[in-house]
Order: sequence, then structure tokens, then C-alpha cells
Amino acid sequence: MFTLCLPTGRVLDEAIEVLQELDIPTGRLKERGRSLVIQEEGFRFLLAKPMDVPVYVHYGIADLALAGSDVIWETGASLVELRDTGRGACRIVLAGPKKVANLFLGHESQVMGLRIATKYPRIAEEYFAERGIQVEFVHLNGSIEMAPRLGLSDCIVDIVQTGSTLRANALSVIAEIAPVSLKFVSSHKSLQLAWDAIEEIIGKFASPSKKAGDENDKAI
Amino acid sequence: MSRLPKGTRTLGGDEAERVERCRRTFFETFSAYGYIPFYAPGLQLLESAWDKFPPRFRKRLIPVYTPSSEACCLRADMTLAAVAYLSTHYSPQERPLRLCYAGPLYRAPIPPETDFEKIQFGAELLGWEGEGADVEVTALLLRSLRQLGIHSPVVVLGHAGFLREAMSGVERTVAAPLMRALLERRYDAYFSSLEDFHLPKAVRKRLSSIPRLRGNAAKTLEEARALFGETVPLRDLELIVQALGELGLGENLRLDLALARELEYYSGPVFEIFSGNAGVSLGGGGRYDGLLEQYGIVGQALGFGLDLRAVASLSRAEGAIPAVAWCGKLSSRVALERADDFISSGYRVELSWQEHREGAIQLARTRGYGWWIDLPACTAYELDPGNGNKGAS
Repeated sequence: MFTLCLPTGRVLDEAIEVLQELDIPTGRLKERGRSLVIQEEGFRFLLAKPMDVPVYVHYGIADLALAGSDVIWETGASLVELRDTGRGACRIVLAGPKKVANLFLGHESQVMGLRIATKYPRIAEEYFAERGIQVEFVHLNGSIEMAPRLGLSDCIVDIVQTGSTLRANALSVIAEIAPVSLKFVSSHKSLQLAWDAIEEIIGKFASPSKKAGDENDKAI
Repeated sequence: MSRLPKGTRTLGGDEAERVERCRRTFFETFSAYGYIPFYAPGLQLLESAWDKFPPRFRKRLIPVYTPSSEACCLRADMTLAAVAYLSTHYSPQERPLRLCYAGPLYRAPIPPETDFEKIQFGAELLGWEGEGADVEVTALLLRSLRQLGIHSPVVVLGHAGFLREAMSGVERTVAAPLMRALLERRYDAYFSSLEDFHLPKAVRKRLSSIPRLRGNAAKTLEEARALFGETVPLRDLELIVQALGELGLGENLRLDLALARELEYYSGPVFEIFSGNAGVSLGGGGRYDGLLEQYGIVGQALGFGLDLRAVASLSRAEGAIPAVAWCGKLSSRVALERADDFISSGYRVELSWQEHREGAIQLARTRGYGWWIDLPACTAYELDPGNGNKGAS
């Protein structure tokens, strides 16, 4: 039985589409109801909170997983990043009200001590630490965009897809921190001991470079 | 309430027994082949260690000051101490030196792990100039794991030299991100870096193949030769694979030619060990001849480290049968002599000097033991989980 861990929430539908492209059976997955462990034709699917997916892989519970690059970075888990699917694309950005955004155009002394709301404390901390900017973080678990409006923070670090939620909260992008997409990841053990099965699955995935016409660029 | 520092733990009971059994098995196997025990200080001077560790590893060091105000870190690595010991305590004529050790190492944990203290067993073979060291160390390691009843341990072999040779014709600005991606096991980043650079088609094809060169040893070597030709690293690996196969250990081997170990001082064959359900390796090691050179020593250096707790959690080896031995009215001398007989028959006895045998039986039950021994009657009784004795021997 090959175990695949998938993130719940809005990205699950995209993950299922990726599996369909790879001819992996998804019938029961689509009609899962409240089930979190689903078995179908030699596959066991585990449905976990996006932030928990790397943990299931790290501890060897899942052989393979689809995890967002934001989550992989934030958890810091030691995983093997096999393939970027290009799906679930969005960005991690630093965003804030116009007044605060203007501060970032000037000398860095103007942004020292700002308060940043985020559900990505590790990413945010690394971003500001690399630039030598000392800020204060507020760790929230959701509805990050309303924090500046309510005076809880000066700006936010969060994922943005279309930008409509930012606009609705009078926020604009100050800086792009990193692109985000769904990646195939495995544990170090599965890479070695279940390699044939992994290669068979992700080898079918048409990579961006293959689509561009060079067959040799993506070997896995 | 007595609290432990976050990231540390006390080992006791069954777990401590299993860890100790593993430690002893490793020591017995390696010391039978001339590996001598080695104890290094718990602290490393930062001035000696800093430039030998790669930046990623330095971030995991835990700094402390000694009472003499010397900047140190809690011991994060045993290899440096072993090499320094060899360079200062042994003349060239006395080499090679074989060392083995067990003790705590300290590194900031990588999430989701939380422990920064690990108990490690390791062995180092230093200063040998001929062939055979890689096979010796790997074979002894696999034998120890088999002895401990570890289910199908797998040694994954790579070669630091293979990767260096593969990148040798490539500009440093191109090779550096590729090597970093392999080291961090970010193969998507590896391929995306390959796309970013203009490389001759043949070079691109070879480099693209590296993360796929893994699995069955013979098949992987054949594929690698077809792409890279006959190279010294591939010959090295073939010799190891062949020798371990002859020792009946072939089924425990896999190759991974993209394998790069975190410590950059590795220079030849490198390996990682996997078993059980854990997603990460039990440990690993490899050749680090370059590090030896830094200490002015010619020859090979080879070593590995294993997480003893992880190994112990997988071990199916049974220890001596634990039992409470009731002494009755026997004198101390006679009781100890009779207990010795049971110990030599495979029991581990805890003496009970209580007046009544019921007290000893109750103690055995409290301990969760399956046996109690009536020393005056020279008889061992198996305890029924429900009541009384099940049988005698």
C-alpha cells in the first residue's frame, strides 16, 4: 500500500486534479465525506491540515505528499522536494496600507520596530532578519488581512492569489517574498526504499521544461 | 515539580535497557575487530571547529563558555575529536587507528524534531592507505544491526567524488547552486537551476540524470557508466558493492549517486542507513580523507554515527530474562552463588531478601517480570499474568 498525504482546504481540489493527471484513482477521494483516511486500488490517502503534511512525511507515515512550498518553508521539515507541480500557484508577500508601504521606499530606519501580523512567523522572521530589519511579529492563524485595519499590526506577511482580499482591506503589496506552488515531497527513507514507486508516479508528471520541449531537463 | 530543559529527555526503564543493549552490541562487534573505546570532552572549542563545519551546520551549534572564558559549543560532532586525537597521540607507524564511541551529541533540532541532545554510537577508522576500510566498516555496521534484530537495514551508498567529477567541467557559479540543491535534497530546485544555465546538451543530459541514479546497485552502476564512463568513484563503489555482496550483505545495499552528506568534509564513498518506519535515516557516514589532510595526516579516514535511540526503538533483540530471585534464609554467599548459576543460564536477577516468597513474587509482578526464582529450591517459576505460577524450570 502506497501512502500519499494531501492537504485539506481549498488546495485539495487542485491536488486531486494533479493525481488525476497521473492516472491515480481518485473516485473515493472525491466522495470522501468526512473521511480523512481513504483507500483505493493500492493507494492510501491521508488528508491533513496543510501545515501538518510535512510532519506526516518526516515521520515516515506517508511515502509521498503534495505540500505547498510555503508550508515546507514554514515548517522547516527535512524532506525531499521532488517536483514542483506548478499548481496551487500564489505568492507570499509583505503587504500593508499605502501609508506604511511608503515607509519601505525610504531609509530602513523608518521601518524599524514595525509590527507584522502573519501565520508564517518563520518565513517572516527570516525575511526581515536577512535584511537587518528589526520588527515585531504577531502570530495569527487566519484573517490576517484585517490586522492592520484594526490596529493590531502595521503590515502583514501572507499568501496572495488574486489580490482581491488585500484590496478589500485597503492593503497593497510592498514586496514579493516568494512564489508558492504545490510540490511533490517524500521522506528521505521513501526516496531510497520506495524509489521505483515514486519514480513511476512523478515520472508521469509533465514538467514545465518538458512542456517547453526539452525531454532531458527533468529526469524525475 | 522537576522539569527538564526543553529538547532533552531522561531515558529509563525498558528504553534505557534497549539503548544499553544496542550500545553493548555495537561495542562488542567493533572492539572484536580492534576498535578501541574513545571518550571526547563534551565541549568543542569554537576556534578549532568553526572553519571545519559548513555554514548550515554552524547554525545548529549550541555555544557555551567554559569557566576559563573559552568560547565553545556543546559537542556536535565526534569526528573532529577523533582526528585531532590521532594527530596528537599516534605516530605514523602506529596507524591506522580504529576508534568507537557512544555518547551524547548536541545540535539544534530540525523541525518537527524537538530534541537537541542525541545519543550516538559511532566508529572511525583513521590513517589506512590501502583498500578495504569502507567494506570493513560497512560490514561491521550491518552485522551489528542484524545482531540487534533490526528488520532489513538498508545502507544507501553514494560517492562525494562522483558528484565532484560530474560537476568538474561546469563553471563554479553553475555547480554551486546545483550542489547545494542536491545537498538539501531539493531536486525541483536542482532541475530549475539546470534550466537557468546555458549548458552543452551532453552536459545537461548527464547532470539531469544524477537524481535518478539510485536504487539497485548493479543497475545503477551500469546506468551511471553509460552516462559518465568508467570513473574512479564508480570503480570504488563497485568494489564495495562486490565485496559486501560476497559477504552476503548485498540485499542490504542500494546506491544513490545524488547522495551528498551535510558535513562537507566527506570526500569519497558516503552512506546513510535506513530501516523501519521512520522517515529519516538512522545515521550515516563516509570517507573524509580531506579532513585528515588538514591535520597533516596522509591516508584514508572513514567513520559513521548512528542515533542509538532510533536504533533501539527498532531492535528486536531479546536481552536476558528478567526475574526476581527470592533468597529465603540462604546466606549471602550461597544466594549470590546460586544467582550466578541462573545468570549464566540467561536470567537477569534482582535479589529479594524478603522473609516471605510472596513478597518476592509481588515484586516480580510489580516490575512486570514474567519469572521469579526460588533460590533455596534452585527453581525458576514462570508467572501467570492472572494468578500464581504457570510452570517451573
